Amino acid sequence: MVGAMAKQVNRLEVNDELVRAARTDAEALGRLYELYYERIFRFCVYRLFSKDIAEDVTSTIFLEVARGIRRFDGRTERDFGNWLYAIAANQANAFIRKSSRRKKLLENAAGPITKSANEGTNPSSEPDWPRLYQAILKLKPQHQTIVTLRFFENVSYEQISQILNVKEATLRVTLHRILNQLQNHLTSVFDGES
Amino acid sequence: MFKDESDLEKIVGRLNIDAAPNSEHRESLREQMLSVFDKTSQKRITPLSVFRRTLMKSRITKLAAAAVILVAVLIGILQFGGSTPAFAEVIQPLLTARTAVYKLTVQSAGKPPETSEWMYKVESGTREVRPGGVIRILHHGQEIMLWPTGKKGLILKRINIPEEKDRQTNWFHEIKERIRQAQEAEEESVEFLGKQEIDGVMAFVYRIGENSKMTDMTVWADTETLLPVRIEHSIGSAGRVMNIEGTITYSDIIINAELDESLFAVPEGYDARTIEIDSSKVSEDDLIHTLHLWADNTDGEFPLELNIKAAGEFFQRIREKMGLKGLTFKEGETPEFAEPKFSEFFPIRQRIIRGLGFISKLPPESDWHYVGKDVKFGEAEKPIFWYKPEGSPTYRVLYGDLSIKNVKPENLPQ
Repeated sequence: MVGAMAKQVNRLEVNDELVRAARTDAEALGRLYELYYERIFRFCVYRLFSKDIAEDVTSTIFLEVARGIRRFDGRTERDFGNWLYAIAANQANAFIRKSSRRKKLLENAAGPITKSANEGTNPSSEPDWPRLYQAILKLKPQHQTIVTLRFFENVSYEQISQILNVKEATLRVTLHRILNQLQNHLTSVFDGES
Repeated sequence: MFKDESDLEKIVGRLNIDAAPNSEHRESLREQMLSVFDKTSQKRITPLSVFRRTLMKSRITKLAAAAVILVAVLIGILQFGGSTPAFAEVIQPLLTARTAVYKLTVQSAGKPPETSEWMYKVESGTREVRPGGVIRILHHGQEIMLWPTGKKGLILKRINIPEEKDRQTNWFHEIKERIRQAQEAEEESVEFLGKQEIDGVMAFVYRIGENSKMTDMTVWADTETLLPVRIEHSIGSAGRVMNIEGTITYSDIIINAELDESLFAVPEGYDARTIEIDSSKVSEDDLIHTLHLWADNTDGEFPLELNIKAAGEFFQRIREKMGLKGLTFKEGETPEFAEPKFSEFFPIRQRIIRGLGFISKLPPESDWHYVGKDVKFGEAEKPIFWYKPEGSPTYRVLYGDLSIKNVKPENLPQ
């Protein structure tokens, strides 16, 4: 037990060193990239539904990291992770917001799958991924980010509040409201009003 | 559905979402990212530091500079969470520019491109050196034209300027405003189009989508310094009166160059003549005067169309009648205003421009129509123009004798 904890502390300290080194050292940045690429790509898939779009936005995010890491003033891996998720959330929201046409495309991308996925199944069953995505997409962009971070990425309240720069208490209240809205949106998706 | 938070957690946990990454993308992005990182290791002159350094040369602007930098940084932090604000960084030097020097090329349909050299200073206005060498300055409500070879000058002094119009059209200012709107409006479309080599440098390319006030705009920014290399936007939304289509390109842009105030005034030793221009608010009467003047000078005809092209042809006819050579922007040629007949021509020109000014300001919902091309002056039963004033239930209809009546929509000419 003690050994495992020591290992974990060591790992964190090593990664903190990596973050500090990454400002000037390409190899360190490359290692951070390896640590986070999959998480960020997954986050983008959850936010944008399409893997192709997720790849494009993931590229934008890491290129922004490459341009900004020298000015990044965080000291720990946690700081880096928060910064990275903040960039990812901004970029995903920017992609969706850029035009309503794009939002429509994303909705349509989810739409046909919804129908085929539910053929012959009980409509009252729990939502599948396309339905849930359609319902999430009806939320405000920042609320979409909160749902993705909390339920898909299992990020703690404390960390989400740091990523989005909001108070933790406010976040909890907001999430309560978001869940009510999400339930309403899911009902409308199930009723075919989407 | 789901009952509560933990229920939703369980549902999400059961979803079968394919989020497996593609190893090729992972590898190629890694290379791309490290290449960008390598390039940033070269010493960068940031827009902020250029801006700060240039402004700090002037004692007067130190405080203003501090305030502007603070605002710019706050905008960056608020909008982009303190990360690398790519578009915000690119536009920052433009938005905060106190001066700019640039080349402006107008490419309009059916004409060769025309490039002039411009200077812009927030407090002073603009100075343009036209292709022929003539200088045109817009400065504090005045338009100054200078012919350097003969040291002649013409000052067009605007009088009766309505308070809300106390600003001359200034394209650089308009560009700044347009970009500011794009940055502030959540729904505005700003698209990153990738990288492109332009004017000999590698540049990031951004496109700002069309909105109700302006056509789309493309901004190129140097990948190393992030300073603007080129800005391009379409012209073509000026409506039925201006009827111009084409592209305006800003290139060779230098931000915050030191520009002496004397560049925006008539230099010593110039023989400059001042003419006053009535810049009061245009009205329906101005249109009536325009049409009257037109008929007086064309044996009772009215214009074929009401637009700037028709006005240009009309001015040419008047000039020919008066023996004037026309407006010259070529160095060495005698400026038109130096000729005695110019005093007769200029008021006619201004009168016509004011009439066109009235219809150019009518909104689309005014539903204005001009049908005077086959009507002769004095034909009292024939309508030549009608429009609906804002908030009015009836139209104003102007007839061939230049009388005007209120007419219900159902009684409008077919």
